[in-house]
Amino acid sequence: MRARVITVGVALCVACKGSEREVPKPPAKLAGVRVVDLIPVSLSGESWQDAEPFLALYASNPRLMAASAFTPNPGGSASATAPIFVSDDGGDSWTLRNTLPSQTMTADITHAVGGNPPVLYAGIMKVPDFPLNELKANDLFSPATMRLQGFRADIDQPFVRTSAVGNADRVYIGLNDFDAPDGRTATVDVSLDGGTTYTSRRIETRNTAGQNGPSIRPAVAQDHTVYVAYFGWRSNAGADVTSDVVVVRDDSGATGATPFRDLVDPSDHLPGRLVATHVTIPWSNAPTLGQVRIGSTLSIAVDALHSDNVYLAWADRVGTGDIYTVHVRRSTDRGATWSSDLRTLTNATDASLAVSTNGTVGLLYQQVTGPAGASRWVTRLEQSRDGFATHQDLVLATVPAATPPFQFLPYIGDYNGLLTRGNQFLGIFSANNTPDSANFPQGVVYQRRVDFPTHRLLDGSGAPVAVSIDPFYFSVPVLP
Amino acid sequence: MHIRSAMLFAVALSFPGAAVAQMSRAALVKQSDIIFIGTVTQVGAVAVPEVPPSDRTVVVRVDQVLEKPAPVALTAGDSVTVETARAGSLKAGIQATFYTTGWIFGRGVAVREVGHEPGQSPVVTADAREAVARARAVVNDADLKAHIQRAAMVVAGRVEQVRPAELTAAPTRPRRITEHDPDWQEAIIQVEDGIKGAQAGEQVVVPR
Repeated sequence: MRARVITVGVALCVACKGSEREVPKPPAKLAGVRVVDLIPVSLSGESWQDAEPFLALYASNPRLMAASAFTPNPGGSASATAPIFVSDDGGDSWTLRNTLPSQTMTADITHAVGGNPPVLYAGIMKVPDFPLNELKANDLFSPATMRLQGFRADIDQPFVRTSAVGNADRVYIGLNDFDAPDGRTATVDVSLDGGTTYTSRRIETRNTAGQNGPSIRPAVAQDHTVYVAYFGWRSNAGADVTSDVVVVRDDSGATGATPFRDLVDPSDHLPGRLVATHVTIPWSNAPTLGQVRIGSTLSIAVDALHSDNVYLAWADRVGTGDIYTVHVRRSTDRGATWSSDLRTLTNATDASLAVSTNGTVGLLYQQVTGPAGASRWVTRLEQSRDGFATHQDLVLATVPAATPPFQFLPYIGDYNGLLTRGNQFLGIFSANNTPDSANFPQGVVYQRRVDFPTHRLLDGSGAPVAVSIDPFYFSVPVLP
Repeated sequence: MHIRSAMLFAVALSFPGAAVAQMSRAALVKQSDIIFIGTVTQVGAVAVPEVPPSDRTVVVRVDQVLEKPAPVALTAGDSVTVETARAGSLKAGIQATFYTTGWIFGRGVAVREVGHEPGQSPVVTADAREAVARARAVVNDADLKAHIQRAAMVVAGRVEQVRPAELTAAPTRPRRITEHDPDWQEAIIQVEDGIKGAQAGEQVVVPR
């Protein structure tokens, strides 16, 4: 018998007071909280894994929002475009519009809204082959495909932030650029002219293990201070990467010739403050924590009105039996010095930070809790006004971690999204979509057909639909 | 161990474009993912607020759904907004078979017309269904034929084992680590019927 090898290309809290007889009570509902499943009624038969959600807000029109997830064009694999979700009623309802220039769906996608005029910028990894596409849409409701402004191959995790200055938008797209010299791959594509031109700015100044981690996250304050957080990968052994957690800063919107060099570490006098050193990043492109892969959780948020105040969250493996642990720290002096851990969250991922205009910090994260075999993904929003000396804890969702089984990775996403506007935190996460009120302690609204009494999803004809992962939008009042 | 037949494909197809009016039914079917018999009820109008009305939008009452993706909720009696291929091509009261692609999905469905066939009035549902099914079979057969022609091997067989791939080709550039790295696996297949490039009784290894 002959064995031959052929190569075939395939695109391949319960908060209970003690009593004589303790009866668990559901968490109290907080007034003003909304949780909305984004899948519209006309796609009630959908059973895809809509992971890695993201959200963009229009400051000029609070009712207008854009959202994305790994949601395919319902037309199927031959479709030349991929969809984006749009709401024009403040998140109460959502439509799916196929206006992204990517075959059926995108790989990584993030987006943000500029202000001159309010246009949507998106950074996507296009299907097929995953090149970066830097896109712009003047009119979110236009049937036209988003306009391509820049593209190149060999990048990972484009992450878009914007600011409006005079009559031009500034766009900052953090990305891991594998074509950067010397393995210093942490990069920010900076546009000072509304995306017409981009300049790739290298922000790593130290030697790496051949590359940086995939997550490079910008945050912009109103005074044009730009912070960027990234993982400075220094060495790796097997699946574990030894990394520094680094923050760079630019005080003038990255408009200079050598941007992102305004924050120097005292240890080596190089740009980039080392917030944590020699942490262990468990790089696992396999279902590792509640079916999700791990290795790139990183978030940074600046107080938009007081740019001295900045929060940072990342995840690593502490080594005390944890799988993956989220850490949250704060600087009140423009990144020069940092607190110790304000929050340490075991077996959590997808941390996202935002700071409201009154200085309240919001922390969105998803954590696996409970015993093996009965574990749950719990999505929480914490708020604090005192650097997490105290905080309000809100459970947005608590769903089985083992169902549905993953269709692909990431199971729920390598990131989710949290933003703030006025007196609200607005965000998005992905989770098991079983219509069970017990899973959504703050309540939930479905657009798609569901039958709550039987906890069933239904298609257009009323037939049962399998449970899957859906994106959920939420709004939560900021602590007064 | 999984037991299954394996058909190995390696190509994707595309047909050259053609003017809508000259498209064969098969070409219309190939480009469409939502096909239905419907009656135009309004011209220059929309059925859902998410779509702005224009001289190219019409509202069509769905009389019979012939093809649609499983996730899409669309049944007879629904009103669909259709963006026509050209303004003025449809008038109220016309019944036709509509070949479309999904455009906007919200409280209702909006589609883009690839083409339409007025046919007889009223459209005989059974005839239209059979015609579309026949055209779809033609498209599927053409797809399959092209796949077979380009594939190195086509076999029916039994997957004996799946294991991490041992790719021999060296990478042409420095190794990089991303979450988009393929997790190559290879299947050991015992060939039961060699359709192309292999014979029954052989064992082949297919990376994926």
